[in-house]
This record gives sequence, C-alpha cells and structure tokens, in this order.
Amino acid sequence: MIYTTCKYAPEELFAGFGEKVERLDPNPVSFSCADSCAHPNLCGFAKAVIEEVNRKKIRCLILTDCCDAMRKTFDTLQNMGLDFLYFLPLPHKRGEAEIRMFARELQKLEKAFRAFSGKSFSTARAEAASRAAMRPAEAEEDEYISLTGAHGGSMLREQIRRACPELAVRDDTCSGNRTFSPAETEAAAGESEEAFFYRYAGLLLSGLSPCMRMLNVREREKMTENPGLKGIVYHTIKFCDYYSFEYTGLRNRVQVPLLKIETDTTPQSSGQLKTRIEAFAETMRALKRKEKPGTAGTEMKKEEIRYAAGVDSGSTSTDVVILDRNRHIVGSAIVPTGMSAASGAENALQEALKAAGLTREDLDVIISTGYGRDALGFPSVTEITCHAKGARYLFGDVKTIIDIGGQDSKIIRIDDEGNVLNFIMNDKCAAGTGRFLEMQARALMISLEEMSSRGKAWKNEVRISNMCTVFAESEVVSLVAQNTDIADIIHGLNVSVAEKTVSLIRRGKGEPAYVMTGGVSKNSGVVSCLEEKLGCPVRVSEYSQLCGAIGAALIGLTAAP
Amino acid sequence: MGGIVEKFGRAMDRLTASKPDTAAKVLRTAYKAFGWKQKHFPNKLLPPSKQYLATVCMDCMVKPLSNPGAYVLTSLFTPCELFYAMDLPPMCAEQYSTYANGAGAEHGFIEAAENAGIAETYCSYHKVVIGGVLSGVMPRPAAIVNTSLACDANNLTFRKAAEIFDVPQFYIDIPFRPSEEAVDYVEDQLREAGKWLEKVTGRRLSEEKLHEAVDNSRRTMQILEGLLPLRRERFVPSELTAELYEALLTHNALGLPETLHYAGLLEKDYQMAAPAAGRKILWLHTNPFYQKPLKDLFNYGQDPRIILTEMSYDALNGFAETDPYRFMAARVVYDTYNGPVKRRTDRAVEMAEASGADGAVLFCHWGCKETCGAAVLMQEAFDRAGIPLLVINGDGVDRRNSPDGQIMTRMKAFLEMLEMRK
Ligand code: SF4
Ligand code: SF4
Ligand code: SF4
Repeated sequence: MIYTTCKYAPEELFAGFGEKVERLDPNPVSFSCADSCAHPNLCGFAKAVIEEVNRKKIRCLILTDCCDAMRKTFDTLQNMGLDFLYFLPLPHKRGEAEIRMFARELQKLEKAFRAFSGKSFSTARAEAASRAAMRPAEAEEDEYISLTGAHGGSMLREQIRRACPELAVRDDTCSGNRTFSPAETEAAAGESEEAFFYRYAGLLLSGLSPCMRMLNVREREKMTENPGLKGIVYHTIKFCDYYSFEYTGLRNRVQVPLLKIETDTTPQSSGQLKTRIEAFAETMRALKRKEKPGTAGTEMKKEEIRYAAGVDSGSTSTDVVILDRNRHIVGSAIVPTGMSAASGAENALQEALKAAGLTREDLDVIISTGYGRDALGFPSVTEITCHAKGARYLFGDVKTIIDIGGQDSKIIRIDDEGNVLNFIMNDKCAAGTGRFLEMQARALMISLEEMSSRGKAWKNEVRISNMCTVFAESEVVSLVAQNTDIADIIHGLNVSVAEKTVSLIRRGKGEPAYVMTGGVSKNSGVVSCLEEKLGCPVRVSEYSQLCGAIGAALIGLTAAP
Repeated sequence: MGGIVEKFGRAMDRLTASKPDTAAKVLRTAYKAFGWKQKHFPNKLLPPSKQYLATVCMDCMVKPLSNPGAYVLTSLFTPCELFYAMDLPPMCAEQYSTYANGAGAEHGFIEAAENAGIAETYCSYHKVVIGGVLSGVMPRPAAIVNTSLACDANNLTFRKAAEIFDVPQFYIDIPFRPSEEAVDYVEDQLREAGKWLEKVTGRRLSEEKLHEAVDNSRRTMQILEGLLPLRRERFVPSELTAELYEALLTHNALGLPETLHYAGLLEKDYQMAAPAAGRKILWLHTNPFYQKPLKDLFNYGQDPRIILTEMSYDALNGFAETDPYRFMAARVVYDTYNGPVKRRTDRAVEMAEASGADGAVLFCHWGCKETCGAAVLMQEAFDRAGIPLLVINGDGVDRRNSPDGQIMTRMKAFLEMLEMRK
C-alpha cells in the first residue's frame, strides 16, 4: 500500500504499477511521538502524519512539497526508516514551464519506484485510472454543505452529517474533491511515456481545483458560487498559514452561513466543536424556515402550550426560566450545578416551579441548553441559538451579543427576530476571558469585585503586552515589584481584555447595538474600556445570566426546537 | 522599551488606526531624522564599518518610503540587482517590520492584521506588513516581486498585498531541490521578471547597470567569505541590530556600491582588530534586537559576543556564474534555506567550525516553521559535532511573544555552561 497526504499526489502513477493508494486520514489521540521528534509549533496535520506513520507502521509514503510543515515532516520522517519515502516537488505556478518541470519530477518518481519495487510501469493502466478520476460532465445540483479549508477527512464529515442529516456534505478540502475537470487533451495513439507524463502533469496541475498553496487561486471562488451550496464549514488547522488567509476573504464574499472551525486533527479537538456545528445547523434551518414558512416542526400547536421551561446547564450554575404562553417570566432559579448536570437541572427546575407556584405537570415543554444540555433527556438547542433569542427578549433592538464567560468568549450577530446571523467563538485559550482576569486578580491578591471597581481610578497608561495568561501574570508581578499603582495595572489589564474582545468583534463583523452577557459583563471596568474602544455604549442587564434559559424557554413556546 | 520610543509607539498605534496618511508621514520623518542622527552622531561604541552599515540600511528604508508608487515591494530572498538596474528602490518586507518595531509601532500594525482575521500564529514579520498594507500606512508600490523562499508566508502576504494595493505581482518560484535544472528554471523566471517589470513600470532595464550591480554583489560576497577565518580570533564590536543589518545587506542590498563599500570597511576593521578571548556565539536565524536584557548581554562587548549570524552567510553561492541572471538564480537556488533541512544544519555546523564558535543559539521565531521545524534536527547535528546549541523561542518583531524572563534564564544558563567548558 502506498500512502499519500495530498490531492496532488500522483495516485494514477501508482495505479500504473498496479499498486493500491490510500490518502492518510489521521486522527491520532495524542502527539506523543510527534512531540518527541518535532517542534510543537508544527501544524496538527503534520504531527498527525508523523503519529500515523509510527502507529500504522507505514512503509511507503509520498509527501508533496505543500508547505513548510510538510518539508519539515519529510526531514523528520527520514530518520524513521521507511522503505520508500518520497518527497515530490510541486510548482506553485501552473504554466507551460511548470508543467514541463513537474512532468520531469513525476518521471523521476516513476523511476525511483521502479527501482525500489522491481515492478514495471504501464501507461495504459495509469491512463485508465486517470480517466476513472474524471469529473462527470453533469455534476448533480443537490443541496449540500461544503467542508472546505485544510485537510477535512472522515471525522469532520461525519460530525457535520450527524448535525445536519438533511443535507449532503461535500469535502472540498485537501482530503476530498480529487476529480479532474474533463481533459482537453486525449491520449494520442502510441503515445510515448514522456508524452504521457507531460499530459498527466498538466492534468494534475490544471485539472484539479487549485488549493490555497497555488499562486493563482481565483478558481477557488467558483466553489462558492454553486447554487446547491447551502452552507460552508471552513476548517483550519492551528499553525497552518494557508487557510486562515482565504477565510478572511471568504467571510466578506459569501452569502450562505459560514462556520469557521479549527482543530489539530485529534478527536478531542473535534469533539469540542459539537456545539458550534449544531448551532450552525440550527442557523441554516432557521434560514430555511424563513425562506419557506410553514415548514416548522409542529408536534404541538402554539395555543396548546401553557408553560415552557428553559434549562441552561452550565459548568458552575444551572439556570431555569419558566415562561407562560404570553412570554412572561413566571418563575426562575439559579442553582449551583453540583456533581451532575442532571441533579443540578432537577433542583433548579423544582426551585423555579416553586417560585412560579406551578407543578411539573403544568410544563408542556422543557428545552435544555448549555454544556450539559445533552445529559438531561430533554430536547436540546445550543446555547448560541438560545442566547440570541434571550438577548432579543431582554434588550429589544440588539444586533450583537458579546458573551464573555469564564472559559470562552463569543460574538453572536442576530437579526430582528433573534435568529443567529453568524457567530464566532474563542475557546482555545484563556486570553480575554473571565479566567484571564481571575488569574490576574489572584496575582494582585485582590477580589474580582475589587478589580471591577478599582481600575477606574487609573492615572497612567500601563500596557500589558502579553495576552498569554501565564506571561501576563509574570508581567503583572513585575509591575507590582516596580511599585506601579494597582489601579493603573488593573486598567492595563482591562484594556488588554477589551482589545482582545474588540478584535473578536471585528472578526465577527459586529455592529451596534451591543449587549454584553456572561460573567465578565459584571466587571464595569472592562465594560467601560470596551465602550471606549468601540465608541458606543454596551448594554448590560442584571438578568443577563438568565439569557440562555430565557432563549430555551422561548424556543419551547414556538414548539419548534 | 525606552520611554520616548514607547510614547512614539503609542501615538503611532492611534494614528495607524485613525489617520494612516499622517502615520506614514510621521514614520518616514522619524526614520529620516534617525538616519540623519546616525550619519552625524554615529554610535561611538561601534567601529566605522558598523556605523556606516546603519546608515546604508536606513537609506534602504527611506528611499522606497519617499517614493510612493515608484518602488518595488519585495521579500528578503529576492535578488534585487534587477531593481537597481532600473533605478527602482526595493523595499524588503522583513525590513519594514523590523523598522516598525524599532519605532515601537508594530503593535498597531499587528492589531490591524489580526482584526482582519489573520491568524495569531502567522509570522509577525509578515503580520506587520499585512497590517501596514491594510491600514493604508505602507505606501503603494509600483509592483510586487517576491520569491517562494524561505517560507509559506511568501505565498500569502504578497498575493494579499497585491490584491489590496491592486498592483501587479511577479512570483519567482524556487524549486525545493537545488539542482542545475532548478537554476535554469529560476534564471528563466528572472529574465521574464525583468521584461515584465519594464512593461508594468515603463522603465528600462539597463544591462550595463545590471552587470555593475552583479559585479558589486560578487565582490561583496567574496570579501565576506574571506572574513570567516578572521572572525575566529579577532574582536570587532557589534550589536544585535547590526547583525540584522548585515543580513539585509547580504540579501536585498546586494548589488549596491554602498554594500560593497561596507564589506571593504568591515574587512579593514577586522584586519586592524586585536585578537580577543571570550565566548563566541554563532547566531542562527533572526534575533529579537529590541530585547533589553539580551542587548545588555551581547551589545558591544567581547564576552560573550556574536561572531556570526547565519542569515549573513546563507546566500554566498554561485560566485562562478558569469551570466548575471544565472548568477542571481544560483544564489537563491543554492541558498541554505532552500531544500531539505540537512543543507541548513550542515552549513550551520560548518559555519560554527569555521568561525570557531564556542556555542550556537537557534532563535525559534514564533510561528516560523522554517526554523521551529528545523530545531530538533539542528540540535542533533550540533550534538554530533560536539558544539553546544541552545534553542530558544521568541519573536523578532512582536514583543508580546518574547518574554524576557524565559529567554534570559535559558541564555544565562547556557553561557554559564560555555564558561565551564572553557
Ligand atoms: S494545501 Fe494543496 S498541496 Fe497542500 S496538502 Fe492541501 S491540496 Fe496538497
Ligand atoms: S495543515 Fe497547512 S501547514 Fe499543515 S500540512 Fe496542511 S497545508 Fe501544510
Ligand atoms: S521568520 Fe520564518 S516564517 Fe517569518 S518570514 Fe522568516 S522564514 Fe518566514
């Protein structure tokens, strides 16, 4: 078996040898091997390849000269004793000179493999294989979600399919989409091997839709113009440069819902995406309902519902809100989640029912949301969709929600009906979250409450240059050692959180009116820095903690989760 | 950061975001003023060659900035003799970022780039350039010409810049495997680039000037190569910044008569220098020239001292080629940054041995896969050669990624270790 990593790998050349080819689809659980023999800043895919070679005991591997990471992977794998490890240079341009050069490289590979395997190469077999890989002239126009960006693979495809079973998923990343556009050149009778390779090189370079590594990427725009396209999941890999670049442009260009996800190829990293992918599917469904009203699921008529409850199961607290059919809050509760999400939810429900003077039988619907939403046995909706509905309920004309919690921060843009237009999330590092402020408060030996008020008395501008929690902490400690005024330091920290947040807002294309929810919204120092940076007011409500639960209950009332 | 630079930097951050035209003007004026100061009140701690070096580099920055619409934006590894032969001043992207940091102004550019969605892990040299382009502070060039060497960022930054500026771009692809075939291919591209530039700028490429420039390059490279043994025993004061200047001179500024003049001055300085003891460091890749404790450690003194920076000796190839295009092509194709990392590690060990380095430092610039990816193999190569190597992580431009404490603990421990070995 010959393994490859990229769609430009000449699979048909190996078919010409009668060899089987498989593209690696690695999802290692850890990078223990890669981290011991390569720098941790290598991209996740490169590390996954190293891991996979080691785990599967791969003997034959073709790497393509894709990027710095692949070059370094090649350098690293050379020490691992494979039988046939080949690095195929790949031009960036796709002109005549490049095709000629690439053809020569393919011939070199053919020669090297012939010498290694002792097998013979047949152009007829290779030709047949490349004909089999031609794109059918009439591509079907079914509705689909495109998974694009860097190396997708089966794990991500499966996850999207599960969240959105009604649509097909097309893999337009390096891992899929390997069909040639119908060739203009036909094999001439009695074609020489050299002529075949020239034609085949042209097919690979120009017949495949270009990846971001190629110089001219205009053609990629076509991928987003297909009428069947209903949504795009854009995948990037940490430390991969190519694809974040395209996303920047795509965001401004496409009309369909767009979700950016980042993984390092491990199952853990893709597991964390569940909420986002589900919220994305919910957004697409909401859009569809808007297009074709009357298609909402209606198991129970709206008039029949008396009371609906929303349960927001978070890691520290579980919040419940009960609404009557006129959307009035009749009861609510906030209780610590405790040991299990289920018991936390039960306690909160009981408390809210008590406050409302109702019994469990009065509740016609219960919708759960939050991190623990799937553990409760109720129909569930992601906290992103719920937050949007809840904020709309609480604040009326809000356009952008800034939610900064303890562990993550998100920006959600919503339309007039509280539907999510788009959202972005940062949950990879503590920078700019409540946790960042908590750690710094600890370093300053003050409480969070004190931190929230004292920063306002600042006099001199202090810049905290490190966003990384650990580095910032040592910066804070050394500022204290230099006798810097605590108020100035706190202000510096508030500014750095505000900057980080504004950058997230810009990326999410947020616009006023803004509201802020989540634990950090209680920190008035951060809120006022944010207002200054945005140049407009940011509203906060004392009920903002109930936002998610309210949204869930509202969705319950419409009976169309 | 010094107080004045810090204040200037904060003001620049605000201007970058609100009044890019003013920001550009302020920056240009600041560089000019600083260049004037370097010329008339040179740093007395440095020898004549290095004093001169600083002014040449400042000129390389000020010229393009003063010629909006009439300069070429380019990458560090692009041979620039072509542009000199057309009187088109090149502006090296990496130099632009380094100078932005020198003015304390990198933060505003980085913020502009990150706000536009450029990944945090993207190389900060390139992030600053993108920020400069996006914010409108960098003046519009006449054209962009860049190579694929030495890293992926070159495939992205320049394409994006061309798109935003709406100027034509010429991309010189450097095949991964150094070979004569690759030289042929690059030679063809360089010829084509010359004709292309004539067409898009309306200027004429003077073959005579090209020959002159190439001749300057050749002679500069020969002098530098010849200095290697002298670096071993003698002490010529340097500083972190000067090490970067020299890297610029052996890339983009190759071909200028001033660069050749510098090489001559440096040769003289070495010839007149006294023999010296002290720990000698070979520095691999770029350096965080702004980092105060590191400056205190290495600037001007002889123990420890940086005797050689890899980036000034990676491109000394292809002297023998007589055709100017082939000469330039061979230089990039055989650059040690091209091809399998073994070429780079072999050459680094060779440099360490030739210059008698007691130890080497590999600076892993944040997000630089070219270097971070080579770290483990570099370590193995130096282990085999019995020369101590320290790998440190930091950032040549973005202060946020270069924590003083961590770098200094490692650096000091390493130097202590070298002391014990002596
Ligand atoms: S980016 Fe292009 S060259 Fe790289 S792996 Fe993907 S398809 Fe292959
Ligand atoms: S994810 Fe990006 S950096 Fe990694 S191998 Fe693929 S293209 Fe290269
Ligand atoms: S530091 Fe590294 S990533 Fe940045 S431009 Fe240089 S080679 Fe490229």
